[in-house]
Amino acid sequence: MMSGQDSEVNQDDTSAGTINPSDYVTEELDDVTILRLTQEIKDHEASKTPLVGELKPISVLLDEYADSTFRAKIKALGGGSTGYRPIRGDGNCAWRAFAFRFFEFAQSYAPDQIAELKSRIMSLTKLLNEAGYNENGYIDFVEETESLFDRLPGLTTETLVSEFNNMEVSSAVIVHFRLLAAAYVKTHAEDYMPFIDDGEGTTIEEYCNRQIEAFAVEADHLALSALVNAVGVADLGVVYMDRSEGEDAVVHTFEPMSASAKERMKIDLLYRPGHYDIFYR
Amino acid sequence: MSLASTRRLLKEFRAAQKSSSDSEEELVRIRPVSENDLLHWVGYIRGSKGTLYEGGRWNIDIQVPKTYPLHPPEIKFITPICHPNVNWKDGLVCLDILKGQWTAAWTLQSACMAILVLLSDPEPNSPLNVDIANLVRSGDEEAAASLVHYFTAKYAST
Repeated sequence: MMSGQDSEVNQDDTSAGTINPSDYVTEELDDVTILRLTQEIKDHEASKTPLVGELKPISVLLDEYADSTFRAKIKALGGGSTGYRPIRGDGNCAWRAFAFRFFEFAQSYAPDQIAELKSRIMSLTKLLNEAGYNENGYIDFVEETESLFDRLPGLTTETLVSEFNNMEVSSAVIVHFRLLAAAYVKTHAEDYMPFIDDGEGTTIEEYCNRQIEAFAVEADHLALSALVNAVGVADLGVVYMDRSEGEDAVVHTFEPMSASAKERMKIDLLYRPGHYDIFYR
Repeated sequence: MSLASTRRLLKEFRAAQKSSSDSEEELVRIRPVSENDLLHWVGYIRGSKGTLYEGGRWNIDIQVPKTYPLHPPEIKFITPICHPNVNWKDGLVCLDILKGQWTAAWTLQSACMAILVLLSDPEPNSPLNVDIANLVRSGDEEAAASLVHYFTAKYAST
């Protein structure tokens, strides 16, 4: 994904790291072991970066790329007025990026607006019930989001970043948002089935389980659309920083089908193949 | 163990206590080994009526990771069971929701229910027990049924 020196340094780190494959080759690997080892490698890599990083000027990205296509697109994003906030690449990045930016907007609101937003998100719990989720399965995550809303008026951007670097808080909000997106798909089956139907009989349940509910599985296009529709108070712009032709990065905008708020948040993510960070215009 | 894991497991423990009757109607029953260690549960699964596994009762063992419910529990059969997706030697179950497809909204109880469903709806294309999987795959229902019935009677009859 990245060219340049940074990634080479990372690879060296891995081979000299604490995970030594020869420790495991003496016995046959079963699926559970393979899963655990894969997770260990991912965790080991991921632990080098914070879950949610500091806001950086967009020009910092230029240092990561030698490729002229990428450099042209980064330059086209604008100069000093734009920035990005790196998010850990652990399979939850799009979800974490969206959730953080959502709360960052909310944090800047007046207390009564925060209260309104909170009741909007909490009212979505009925969607979880309609979709057939067991309360014991989701209630802890919903309560963690609720409690974050309650702490929000006392937080600054800096302390919100700390909140999101707390694995427990961050993970709970991500699971909550994943379940809301999946519940939206399940309760709007007629809208989504044409996109899910792959000719192999994949059901809505299977799709949601595989692509949305499973923790650490990257968000696809449909998942992002469902998230935006479920939350209903934010537009999402995804800036595609890839090798496609043209000097400008393609931007894909998701808008909620039925928006409950007049003024919607504008959340932007910066997509580079396989990874999302937050983009600031 | 994190606070979130403890809180969640306590809720599941209370739910498990409520639904307590050892009646034959109850197909899945689980409980922690001790109230002081919510990371280790045991219980049983009964075969559903009208399936090959009717009449059997298999003990199971559940190891819960400290990161539960973000990561799945490890569930295995203690009583030997003849099934395409269960390893005969160690009782480990091959089921996607217990691996990469795990969802934090599942509970230990619902994971066990998924195993119960797997009993009557095997996936012979990802077998852990090749002998029975081959019979199921080749459509030899009679031979598959007699093999399952033999081992159920030998190890798991109630």
